[in-house]
Amino acid sequence: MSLLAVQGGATGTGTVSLVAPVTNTNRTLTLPDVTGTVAVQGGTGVGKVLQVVQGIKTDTFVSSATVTDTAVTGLTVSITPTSASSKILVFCNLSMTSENAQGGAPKLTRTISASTTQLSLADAAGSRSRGSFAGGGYRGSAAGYLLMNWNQNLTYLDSPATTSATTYGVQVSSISVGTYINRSGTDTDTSDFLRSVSYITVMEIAA
Amino acid sequence: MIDLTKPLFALFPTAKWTLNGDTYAGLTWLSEDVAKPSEQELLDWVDPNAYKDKRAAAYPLIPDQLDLLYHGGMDAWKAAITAVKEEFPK
Repeated sequence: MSLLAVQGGATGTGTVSLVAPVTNTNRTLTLPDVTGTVAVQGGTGVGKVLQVVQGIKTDTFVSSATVTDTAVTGLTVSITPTSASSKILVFCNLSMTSENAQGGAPKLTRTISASTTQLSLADAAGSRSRGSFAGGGYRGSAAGYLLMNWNQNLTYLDSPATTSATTYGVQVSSISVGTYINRSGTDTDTSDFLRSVSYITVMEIAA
Repeated sequence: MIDLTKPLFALFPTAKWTLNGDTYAGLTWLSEDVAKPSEQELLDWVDPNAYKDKRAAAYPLIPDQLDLLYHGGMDAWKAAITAVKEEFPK
């Protein structure tokens, strides 16, 4: 049988206490069979990722002309932070294309209690469209843009300062023609045309 | 499976809508000045440019067309192209 030795500090005057929880169940705490220092939550060397949630959209979404900042249906993820001081690290992959020169102006959004805020927007610059992502639009030549589909990626560190359910999503716009999610503009039913997937992944990071 | 965005863009070029998924159930109509079309109205639409897609899929690949030109000359190439155009008329 191995032994457990409790050793006091060589210096110092404080008292370290091991406190039992309020429970009626017998518990066993097993120490790791390695040499080192046991870490505790809030100290250094302890993992800071408290939870990870992902939302995936596997079907398509299209918005018509002159639709501004419409939510992409089904491309959302909800997380309830355990602490108001936590940060939320957001990863978003948006598979899209747009016939508009501004590329659909995709925006990351955060919704708390039905109040939606656009996040990570570019600085205002006159009448120019603003986005959280680079747009997926191209009108350079012929109708080639109708055959394209890009992955637009975003990583954003948010500080929602809440313990309420928080939903992240994406909005897109269309000025004169269409914006397409998870498909190309031309979408003929042959193997020449691709359907794809968009997702949002969020991590709660302890402060 | 029909691409509903084709009749939507063709019949209602100024209307505001979103389509989530591929079916009529995913159509959200945002225009107040234009009535939402029925599903049948969209399904009945005939694409006037459908022949273009059919021809594009049926034309020989460019390397094959070049080979046809080299070996058979312009007449052979023209005959091959004409056959596709006649199979899928405007």
